[in-house]
Amino acid sequence: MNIEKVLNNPDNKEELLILLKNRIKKFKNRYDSSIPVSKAEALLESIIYILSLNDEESSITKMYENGLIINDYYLKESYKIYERLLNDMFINDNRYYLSTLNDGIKAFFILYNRYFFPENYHITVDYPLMITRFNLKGAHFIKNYLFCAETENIFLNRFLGEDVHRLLFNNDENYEDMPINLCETVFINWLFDFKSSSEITEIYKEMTEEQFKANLHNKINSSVLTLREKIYFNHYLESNIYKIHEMIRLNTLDTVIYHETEEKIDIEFYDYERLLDFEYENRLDRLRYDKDYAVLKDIDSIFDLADLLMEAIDDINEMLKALNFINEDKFIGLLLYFRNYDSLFTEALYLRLEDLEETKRNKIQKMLDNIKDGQDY
Amino acid sequence: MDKYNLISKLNNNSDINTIKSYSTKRITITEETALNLIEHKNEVLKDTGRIELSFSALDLIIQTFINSSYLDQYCFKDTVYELTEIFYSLKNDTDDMISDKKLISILFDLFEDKCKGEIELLHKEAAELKEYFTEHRNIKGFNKS
Repeated sequence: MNIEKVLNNPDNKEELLILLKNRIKKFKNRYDSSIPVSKAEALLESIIYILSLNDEESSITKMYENGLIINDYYLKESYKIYERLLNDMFINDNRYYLSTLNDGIKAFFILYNRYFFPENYHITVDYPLMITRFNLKGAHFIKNYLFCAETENIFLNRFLGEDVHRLLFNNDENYEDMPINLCETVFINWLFDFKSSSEITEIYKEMTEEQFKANLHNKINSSVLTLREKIYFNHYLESNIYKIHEMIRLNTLDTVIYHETEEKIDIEFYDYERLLDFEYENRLDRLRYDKDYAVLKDIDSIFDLADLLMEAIDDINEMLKALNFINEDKFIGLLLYFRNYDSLFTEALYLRLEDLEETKRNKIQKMLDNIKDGQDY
Repeated sequence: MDKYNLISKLNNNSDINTIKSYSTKRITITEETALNLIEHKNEVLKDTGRIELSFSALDLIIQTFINSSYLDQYCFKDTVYELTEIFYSLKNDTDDMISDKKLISILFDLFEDKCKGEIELLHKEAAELKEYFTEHRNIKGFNKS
């Protein structure tokens, strides 16, 4: 329904004027003869808002009555969703999350004036959702906001609170004081199976945006998520696919992907299986004679990697090319273990370190600095 | 849709004959004076950004002040002009917390007792009243009555 068309219809003018006059009379004190024009305009805006909730055009009076019923429905639904949300609210100490969902929404139900100014919601909704703000007003906005917040809450409750905290804390130590969405980071990490950013880049970088999109939608649709979550996250992907794809292409996913802690790297690299002799020989030949660096990709052990590289390659440029086929976690492992070797291989490792993005480089450098001289890793 | 145009259609127009009927033995309100007072009130309403819907505050101002011992035929019209300006400004400045009747009654008492009919002094009193209400607007008990 086009509300402008309804308002500009000359037949509706008189009815609208009577409705406005009645609303003003009810609003103002009966001992007052006048009100500020700004208040009359606000009351007119409220009438227009209530009229705009209708799908179909009819007389102004009927549309107004029906609009009030629709608005009451939004308000009741908001309350129902809010009760459910509070009963099962995901626990996190983010200031904006708590202040909006606890205090802010409560204040909405206290301050909301469904009779005179139903298009206002009177509160500041600081906590951002994954799906950006909707062009809605009043109880309609709050209902949709709470519905989305509840969907994100259902998803977040699939994880332990401390795990989500660790994930967000690793991305930014001050996240609890920042107006950030809690779910988005968890969702993206889940979407990529909690792999490291370099691993993700490695897997997806060759895909076109369409292939990439299909792949991620498939991941959501074939998951154990509820239908409601699937619809919500698919909708999120539709609007954000380009952003995520670009992050992968530019290898900047580390702004949302969990960075392994030093301790975690420590654990991770001890358990990798070494190659069998024939597998090792086969790869060595392909590296040495065919310069097929792709053979390095599925090697788990950093000791096998180091042996192969040092044995097969004796040119610094070739070594640098080969290192590009190794994911970031393994590269860090190689650097930690072989940082003090006096070889072409170690020289290449440090050169690759120099090529990394500054933040990443500084983090790795800090880890290296924390290891005492002469200490074996 | 021109919202302001629609709202301004709601404005209540005072009746010339009603205003004329407030004449006393001391002060006669002619048709011309009544028309001038109504036109002036409409201008003040516009200037102060207000619309009048039900009864006319101008009627109440005239009914109350025409009995003042400080008003005569000579100064009546100009004084009502000024009273209208003070009244609507104070309505805005006090966020409509005081009803029309009470505000006019306060202004009349000030005009009669403190200001001894001096409109300039009433302007000063109105400024003080505004200041007082600005300071106390959040205090409970400022109910309309």
